[in-house]
Amino acid sequence: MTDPRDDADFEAYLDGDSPVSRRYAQFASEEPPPELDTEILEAARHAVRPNVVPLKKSPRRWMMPVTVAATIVLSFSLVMSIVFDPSVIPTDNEMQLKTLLKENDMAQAEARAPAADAIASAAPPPSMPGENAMGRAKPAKKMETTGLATQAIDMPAAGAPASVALSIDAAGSTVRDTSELLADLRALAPRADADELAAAEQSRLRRENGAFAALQSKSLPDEADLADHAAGPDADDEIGKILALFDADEEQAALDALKSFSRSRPGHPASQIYFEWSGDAQ
Amino acid sequence: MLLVMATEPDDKTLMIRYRKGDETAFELLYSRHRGPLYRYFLRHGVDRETAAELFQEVWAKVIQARKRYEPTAKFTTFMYTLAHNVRVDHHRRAGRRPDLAAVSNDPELITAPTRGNPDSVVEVSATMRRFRAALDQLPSDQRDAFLLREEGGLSLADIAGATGVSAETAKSRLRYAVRKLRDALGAENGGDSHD
Repeated sequence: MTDPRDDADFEAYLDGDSPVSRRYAQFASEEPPPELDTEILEAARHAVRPNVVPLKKSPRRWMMPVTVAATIVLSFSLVMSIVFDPSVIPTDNEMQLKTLLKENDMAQAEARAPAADAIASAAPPPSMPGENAMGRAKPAKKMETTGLATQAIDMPAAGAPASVALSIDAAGSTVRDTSELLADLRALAPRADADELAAAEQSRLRRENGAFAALQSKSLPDEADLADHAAGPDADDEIGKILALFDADEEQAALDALKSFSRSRPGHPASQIYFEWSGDAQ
Repeated sequence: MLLVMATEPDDKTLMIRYRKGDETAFELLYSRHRGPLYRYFLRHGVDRETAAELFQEVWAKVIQARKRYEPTAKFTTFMYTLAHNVRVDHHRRAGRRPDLAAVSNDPELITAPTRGNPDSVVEVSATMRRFRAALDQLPSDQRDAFLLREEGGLSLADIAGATGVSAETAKSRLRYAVRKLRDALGAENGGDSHD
C-alpha cells in the first residue's frame, strides 16, 4: 500500500515540480571534453559528405575529344575517298572517249548516207519478205581510245542483236549465214566495258592460242604469220572496216575484204574464223 | 524559452535534415544532447574515460542509423534506447557492477555553488554529497529510470520502451528512486523534503 504523500510527491515529480529534480540539476552540469565533441562532429560530417576522391586523371577525359576528332577525320577521309575515287569519277581519258564516241556516231551517220545511196543506185537488193521482221543490227559505234592504244574498232551497241541477214544469190538460193561470222568477228573487237573487254580479250587469246596451236601443228611459223600476228592495230583497223561494211549492208564487199584479209594474214584469228566459216583452205 | 522552442526545429526534423546531408542539423542536435547523454553514463558509475567511450559509441550508432531513422518516436527515446543498450552491454562485458565509490569520491563530479557565504557553500556541498551518495546507492534499474527521466526527459512510457519493461515496472522503479532521493534530502532538512 502506497503512502498518499508518496503519490503526491511522485505526481509532483512527474509534473516537474520536485526538490529532487531541482537538487539533481544543481550538480548535474558535467560536459564531455571538447576533443570528444570535435571527434564526433567530424565523424558526423564525414558520414554525410560525398566521398571526395583525390583528383586524378580520368581516362574518360580525353575520350570524348579524341572520339570526336577521329569521327571527323574518318568521315572526311571517307567522303574524300568517295568523291575522288578514280573508279567513280570519269577520268580524262574516259571523258575524251565519250566525246570521241559522239563524234564517231555523227561521222558514221554522215558517211552511211552516201554509201546507202550508192548501194541503192548500183544494185537494189531483192525484196526480202522477212527482212524487216528479222531486224537489223544497230549501227556499230566506232570507239577510239586514247592514251592506251590508238585503234579504231567497230562494236555493236549494247544489247543490239547480232546481224542475222541471209545472203541470197541471184538464183534465189540461200548462201551461208553471215551472222555467226559477224558475231565472231565482233567478238574480236575490244569493248569499252571492262567485262566486255576482258571477255573479248579472253576470246581473242583463245583464238590466238588456237591459231598458234594450228600453226604449230602445221609447221613452224613463218615470218609472215608472225608479222601479221604482231601487226595488231593495223589488222584491227582492217577488221573494223570489214565490220563497217557489214553494218552498211555491204555484205558481199565485206566478205570479199575479209577473204582478202584472211589470205594476206592467215595467222590472224579473224582469218581463222573466216576459214572455219567459209571452209576455204588456208 | 517558448519562443526559442518555437523557432528552432525539433529533434526529429534535425535528424531528418542530417540524414539528407545537413551537417549543421547534426551539430545542433548534438549540442542539445551532448551534456545529458554524457552525464547519463557518468551517473551510472563509470569513470570519465569509460563514459566518453560509451558516449562516443552512442553517437556513432546515431550517425550510422541516420539512413534508417524514421520519426515514429521521439529522438530522445531513440537515442537513450541506444544508450541503455550500450551501457548494459558494457557492464555485461565488464562482468561487474560499476565502481560507484570511485565516482562518488570524484571531486570534479560534485559541482558546488561558488557564490554565497562560506557556511552556505559548505552546507550545499554536504547536501550534494549526500544526494550523490543516495543516487549512487540506488539499484541500477531504479537509477537508470531516474536518469532517463532527468537527463533524457523521457516519459514513463518512453522509459518502459527504452528499458524493455512494462509501464508499471518503469513507474515503480522511478517511484522508488524518487522516494529514496527525497528521503535523503528530507533527512538533511529534518524530514521535510520540500524546499
